[in-house]
Amino acid sequence: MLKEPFGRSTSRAPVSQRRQRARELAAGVGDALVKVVIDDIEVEVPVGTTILEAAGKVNIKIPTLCTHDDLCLAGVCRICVVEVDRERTLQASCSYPIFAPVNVRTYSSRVRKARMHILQLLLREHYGECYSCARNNNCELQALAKEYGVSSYKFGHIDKPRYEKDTSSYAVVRDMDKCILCRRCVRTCIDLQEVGVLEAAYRGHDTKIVTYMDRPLDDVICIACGQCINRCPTGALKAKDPAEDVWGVIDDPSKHVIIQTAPSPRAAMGEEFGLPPGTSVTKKLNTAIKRVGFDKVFDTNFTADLTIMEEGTELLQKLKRKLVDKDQSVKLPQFTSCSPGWVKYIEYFYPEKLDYLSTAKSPQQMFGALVKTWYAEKNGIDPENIVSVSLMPCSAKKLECERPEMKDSGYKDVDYALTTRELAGMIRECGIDLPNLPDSGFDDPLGIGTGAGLVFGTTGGVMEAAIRTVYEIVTGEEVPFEGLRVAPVRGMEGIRTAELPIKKAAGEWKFLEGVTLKVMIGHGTANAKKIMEMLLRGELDDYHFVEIMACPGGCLGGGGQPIPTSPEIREARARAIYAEDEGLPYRKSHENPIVKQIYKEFLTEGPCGHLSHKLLHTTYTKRGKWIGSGRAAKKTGR
Amino acid sequence: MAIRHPVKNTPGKGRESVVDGDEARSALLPLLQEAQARKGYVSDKDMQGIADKLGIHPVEVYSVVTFYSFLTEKKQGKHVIRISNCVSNEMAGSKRVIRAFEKALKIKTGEVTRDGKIGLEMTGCIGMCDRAPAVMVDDLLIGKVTPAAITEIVKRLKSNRKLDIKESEKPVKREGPVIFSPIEPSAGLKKALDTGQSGVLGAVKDSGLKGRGGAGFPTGMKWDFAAKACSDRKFVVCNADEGEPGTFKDKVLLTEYLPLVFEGMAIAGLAIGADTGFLYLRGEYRYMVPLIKKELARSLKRGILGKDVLGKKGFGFDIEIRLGSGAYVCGEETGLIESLEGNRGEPRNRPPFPVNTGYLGHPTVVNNVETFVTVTHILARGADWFKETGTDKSFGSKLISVSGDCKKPGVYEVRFGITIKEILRIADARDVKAVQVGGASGCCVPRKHFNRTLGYEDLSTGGSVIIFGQNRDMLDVANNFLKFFEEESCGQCTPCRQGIPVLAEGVEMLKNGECSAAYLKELISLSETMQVASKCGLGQSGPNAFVSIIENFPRAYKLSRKDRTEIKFDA
Repeated sequence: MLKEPFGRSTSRAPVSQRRQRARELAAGVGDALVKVVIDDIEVEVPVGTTILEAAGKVNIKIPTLCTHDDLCLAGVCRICVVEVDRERTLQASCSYPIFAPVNVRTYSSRVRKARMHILQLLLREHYGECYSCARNNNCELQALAKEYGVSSYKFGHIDKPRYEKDTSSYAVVRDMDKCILCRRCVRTCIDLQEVGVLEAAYRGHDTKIVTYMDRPLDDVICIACGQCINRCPTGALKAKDPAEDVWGVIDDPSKHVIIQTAPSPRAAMGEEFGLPPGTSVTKKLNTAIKRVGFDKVFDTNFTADLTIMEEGTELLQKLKRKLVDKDQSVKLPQFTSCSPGWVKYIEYFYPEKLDYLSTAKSPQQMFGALVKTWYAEKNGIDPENIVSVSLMPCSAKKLECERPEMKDSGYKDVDYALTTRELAGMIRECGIDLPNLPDSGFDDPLGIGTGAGLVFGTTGGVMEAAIRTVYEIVTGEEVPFEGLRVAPVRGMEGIRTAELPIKKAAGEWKFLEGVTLKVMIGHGTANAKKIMEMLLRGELDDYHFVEIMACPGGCLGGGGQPIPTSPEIREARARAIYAEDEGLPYRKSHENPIVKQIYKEFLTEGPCGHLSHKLLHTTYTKRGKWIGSGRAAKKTGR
Repeated sequence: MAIRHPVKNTPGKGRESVVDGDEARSALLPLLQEAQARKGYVSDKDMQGIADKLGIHPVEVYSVVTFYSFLTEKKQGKHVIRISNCVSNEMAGSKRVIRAFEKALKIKTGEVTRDGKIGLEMTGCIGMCDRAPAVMVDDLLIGKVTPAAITEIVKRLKSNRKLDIKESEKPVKREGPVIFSPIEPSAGLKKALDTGQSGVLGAVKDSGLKGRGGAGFPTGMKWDFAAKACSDRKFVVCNADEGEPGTFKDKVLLTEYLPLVFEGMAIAGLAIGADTGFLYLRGEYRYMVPLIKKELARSLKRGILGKDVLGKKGFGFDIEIRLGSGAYVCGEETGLIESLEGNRGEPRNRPPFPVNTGYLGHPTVVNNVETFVTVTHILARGADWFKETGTDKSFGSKLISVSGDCKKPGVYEVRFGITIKEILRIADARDVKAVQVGGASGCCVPRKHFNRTLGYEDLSTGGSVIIFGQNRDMLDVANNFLKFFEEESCGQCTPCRQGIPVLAEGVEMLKNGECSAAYLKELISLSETMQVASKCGLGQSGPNAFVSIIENFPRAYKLSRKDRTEIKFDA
């Protein structure tokens, strides 16, 4: 019943707030059930279950603000208070574990009065108009105000802002006037992601959420994963929205505006239009995008496939150097580099381990580089006039496309990165009814992606795609998994490992015969941290390939995806992605016809050749975690 | 004064190494205190360095630094003068003292002299209410501050001379039925070792002793829970974070009866099966640290502490001193534990209670200084002896700290059941308008209720008794308490953080005659919510003084006939 928080064993939440402490306590009592009566309804739950969870079991809704399925307990907003028969005071149901039979009332007059007061107190200093807020109609505070019929500011309302908006970051905007101090962002940043950018500072009425020394966000070690945005109950945190600029270029007839769409927004965009999580809307989305006015809609899966070719080749070359040439300077395992949040994380926290990172650019950036070279050339368009937009599940992608090294073609690879939420806004603005649109496909020539590229959207996907291709290249045979489902790398466990014995290898790859490929997958930077600590301890010496995504669940749980998020929602999105993969004509990256074509006509030296290196590979910066050193780094895409 | 690493600080044990994880983090506060003492502030470099050392994020260190008043991230003066502005001090003229210092130093409160030498600040109660007006100069507490003393303090600080201004203080002869009654050294502990764990638990339970910090939880029951909890480690914590405005009785116990405190803690250790105790001393009492260390060393020598206590094989007990850094909320037991762990002193969700999940997740009992001393007496003389004093529902006696408008302020031991009237006689107070029992979180008793009694069944208190004469403005009193809570609330839960300023604003409106009867009713209703919906005792008791003053002193304010203009939405 008690959910494990995400990166739990290294959790730094105060001891008492870690769910597992309650679990340990409950463990002493065994798996016994305990009877609870909630509003006269009886329910039996395992010992240690919270009142909130027990109420959920019998469909009693208790309002919440600070509690979140992904995070450890806080019990600070107090909106969820209930009457517990033997307690003098009201109890926060989210953090009250049941150890003995109790009788609970969730809407007594005292409770209703308390909730109204708490709402009024929060609204008193919640500054900003709902209609101009990014979270209008998707705000938990607003929803509660409606539910409880708030009709006036009983205790007054502040009439001017108290804080300056922090718009310094390329990705995340902080508007602390809207903050209600629920501290979900703090628990996300410190406990769930272990990045450690946000904390509460000062005390009493002066309490506020700050970065280190209250510096601007671009001046601290924020990796822009945006997980805080996804969990903020109000509009205090949002992504930096480039929609205005994108409208500008769409309306400019001299610009050729193309958009690439990443795999995971397709599995989540429906949520923005009222469809249940896990509804795949790929082809309707294409129609909507064309109607919005983009000139071409392309598929990021294509460059995901290309990433597999480049990164897979890089891995095989490294293996060869290590195993055949006995080159001890080769750094293995190779870590994936598709997740810009993860890249930032390793640059900050493990700069001395950057050699382990694949040099391949992320699919977004590879795509951008090819659009302004191969595509421009093929179609006779001046790259100057191409505006390259991407639809991403991710807030860190905004920062990635601003990295100064990301313009190898002489032009910025990607001009604007839109999140799922932001494109949904543009679609809504056009009055387009996405769920009821006809289907349409991607445009040529960059519109063919394989199922392998598609599963990049979920944790373990890059690994699955790589295995489907590398295994076949090495052995000449298809992977020994039914329906190409590489089950061992799938799932939502924080860290997963898999082994794949290579029984026979052919030709160039003969040296791999008898080798067992060992891989590891981690998602969420708290797990990345655990994996990096393993690497430091030398426990990964016999591993070959490690996939890391900065966000829980992989890209489908990215900081640009529809709000809310929860383990269930992420699992539904993953199911949609895996289902779509099964129905695609091509399911292995090396079978992608456009990939074959591009290596034939453009990147003629093949994967990891000269031109590939120029356009599709990149370099990293040893940033280190010391805050305030060499902050000229500001313009280097921090 | 620099407190060394807490783990290294352990007398007797000689544990030298920092351990990983949670325990490492518990070194945070001592490290920050050391840095603060070294430079007068915690620098950016220190914060990041300490974060690195403990394996935590710099922002977490920053968060802790900004939480505690005695830690600052900005440079302070070489010397800091802190003027207490608690209600007793305000009555004794703290505002005058502030003005005098401002004039002498040519700076405003909150500023530092141009040469960086002296900073001037306000602070809450520093436990000197009986000698108000009082100031804290660096570690030194100075009471009965006169204009001449102010000139002298400033002169000496400016010329780098030692500040050894001491008031002539006659040693007080203390007498009382329990706590101040005569006792043989280590008699209580000896008896405890003879009767063993079950004997101690039995005696404490039989005595009906309730916690002396104010909440009044039965001590025997608390110890019993902790004794029954399964864990390889357990802890005893002495709550010496005496911060309730108008309370200074623990200061007396810590300076004059310290061996009894140690004994009581060791007895608790025996009762629950703990071998480590923490003495969590409020930052304002920093000057006591050398004295306490000396007494610790003596106790080790005498065998009251250390390995094999009083020669009893298999029972060892050590005590570490931990220092607070200026946060009233750390007097709340879970806030205190958070502070011990190196966090912001933010109270925890309960259940689970500290007796199951306390310091570092281990069973922990937290008791008031006075509780430990009382336990020592109970063990030495027996539960029946103890029960002879007091009432049927409140056995024993209570230390009270009396201050305000009276001739004989000070610490007295009184039997439970004593009336306010009798207390006023003891303190020689005449023409009294009201008595605040229990400090800022207590309630204000008007003259007509002066026959009410001290005791868990009537006026429960941690010991603060503040007397207000006829000429005192009760709205000022309410305002002082609310400002105190506004400053001292930890800020995590909504009712306390946001509610207190609303009440303070209400007092302001009352003063200006702008508050309508309807709005006042709304404020009382809000107070009721704060009393039941706040997370901890601080938030729950925050509105107490406000409510009792509004209810008992209707002549202190005039209501406005006009309703507050509510900001209505379009209906």
